[in-house]
Amino acid sequence: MKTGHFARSARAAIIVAGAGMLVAAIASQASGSSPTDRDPQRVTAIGQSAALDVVMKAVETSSQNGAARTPAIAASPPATVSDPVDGAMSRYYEVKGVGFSARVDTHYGSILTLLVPDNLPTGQGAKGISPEAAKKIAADYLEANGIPTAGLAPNVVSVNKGPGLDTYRVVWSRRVHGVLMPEERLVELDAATGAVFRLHDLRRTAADPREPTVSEETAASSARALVGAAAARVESSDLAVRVDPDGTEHVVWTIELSEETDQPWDHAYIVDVDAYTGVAAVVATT
Amino acid sequence: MGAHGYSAFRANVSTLTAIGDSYGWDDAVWAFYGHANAGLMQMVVGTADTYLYANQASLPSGSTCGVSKAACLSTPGFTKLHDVRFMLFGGCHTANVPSSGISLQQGAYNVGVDSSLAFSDYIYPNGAVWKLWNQTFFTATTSGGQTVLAAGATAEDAVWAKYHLYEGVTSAVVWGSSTKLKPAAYGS
Repeated sequence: MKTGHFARSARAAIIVAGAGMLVAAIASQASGSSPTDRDPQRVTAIGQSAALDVVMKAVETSSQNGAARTPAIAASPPATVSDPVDGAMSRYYEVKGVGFSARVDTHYGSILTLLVPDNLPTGQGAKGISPEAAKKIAADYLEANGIPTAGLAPNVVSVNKGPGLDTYRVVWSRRVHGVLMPEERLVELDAATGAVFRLHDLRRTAADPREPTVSEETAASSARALVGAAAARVESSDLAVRVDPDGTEHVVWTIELSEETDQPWDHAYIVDVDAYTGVAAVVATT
Repeated sequence: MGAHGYSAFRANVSTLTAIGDSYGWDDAVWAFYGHANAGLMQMVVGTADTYLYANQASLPSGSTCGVSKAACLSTPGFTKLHDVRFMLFGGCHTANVPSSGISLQQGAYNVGVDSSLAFSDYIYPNGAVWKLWNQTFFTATTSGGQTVLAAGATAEDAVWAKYHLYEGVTSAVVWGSSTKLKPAAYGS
């Protein structure tokens, strides 16, 4: 009897211990060992081989787009895929191969970044692509890769990276009450040839924010007060959703200020101001 | 860079003489970090306030290249610059042309520097964004064997993925974009 009793007890104890371990494991996954583990938009949904597959498809599309300048890409494997890395907006794999580097969102399986250096401008050609043509090339590129843009508005920006190095950045994004939402598609291409060399595809979603209660002017005043530069100029400002590591969303004014010094250079500051509470924090200074 | 055939060192120059001496070190790669503006970089912080300018025309009136607080890329005594393969001007607005004179990149080009990278906007050298940009840029040019233009683009993506901020690094302007730092070599 005792033996049996002990046996049953021992067995029960093991089961309890096992259940306890299971509960502990589930709790660990839910609460996370780091704040980013609590962000539901960082839960890994695709593996490393799937990440490589999605990148290779986009690389081939880039190769076709800039066929004359990407001979190495067709034979690009072997590629390497890293363990997951946490960024400000997502968790991603870093994928590197011959002729490209990329990052794949572990949750959405989207290509967070892709760079095909062989398609960068060479400085040899004149700017032969119009902004409208650039937008169409970029849209076709996204469509060829099954990347949706519904609900997002495109904007074309001309960029000069040096003598003869002109590009277009075509960015799809959306704003709610003037607040830039995280979701974004970016295609950058050579303005001379139309070759696509860069893709960003950030899928993170955020709840539509309510109307900010702190105005841009008030935010700039708060920023000036915080850095002690009452006469500082506003160099730039924007209103956007920011995400804490655990996925908590904020709406923030980012104010860039500059002020003259007694030297031949200026001081500059980047200050974030919460668009509802007005709480300000210095992000960076020169 | 030391692992890739370059004899790397860091110098906190404290005098104009030291800046001049560094031209004699037969450098292949120069990376300057400091306060800056169109056409100039502050080389010495404090009472000396020595600046590096592109050329004589970029100087304030009454100053002369190579004298007192003014080092110039075009100073005749600084004869080794044609051996430099790449210069990084890590300061705000270093890519821009000053109201008088020429840009630092034009000045470097004029004396035979193969390639350079500078910024047309404010950058923030004290922050994590800038640190990651630098690390990624030099890893891409050495281990990765990328051109300086590609390495800049690679670094830009690394910063965006990690921080979702740019803090000015997208304003990088490259001269001599096809130049590579691997294998280790002097400028041509």
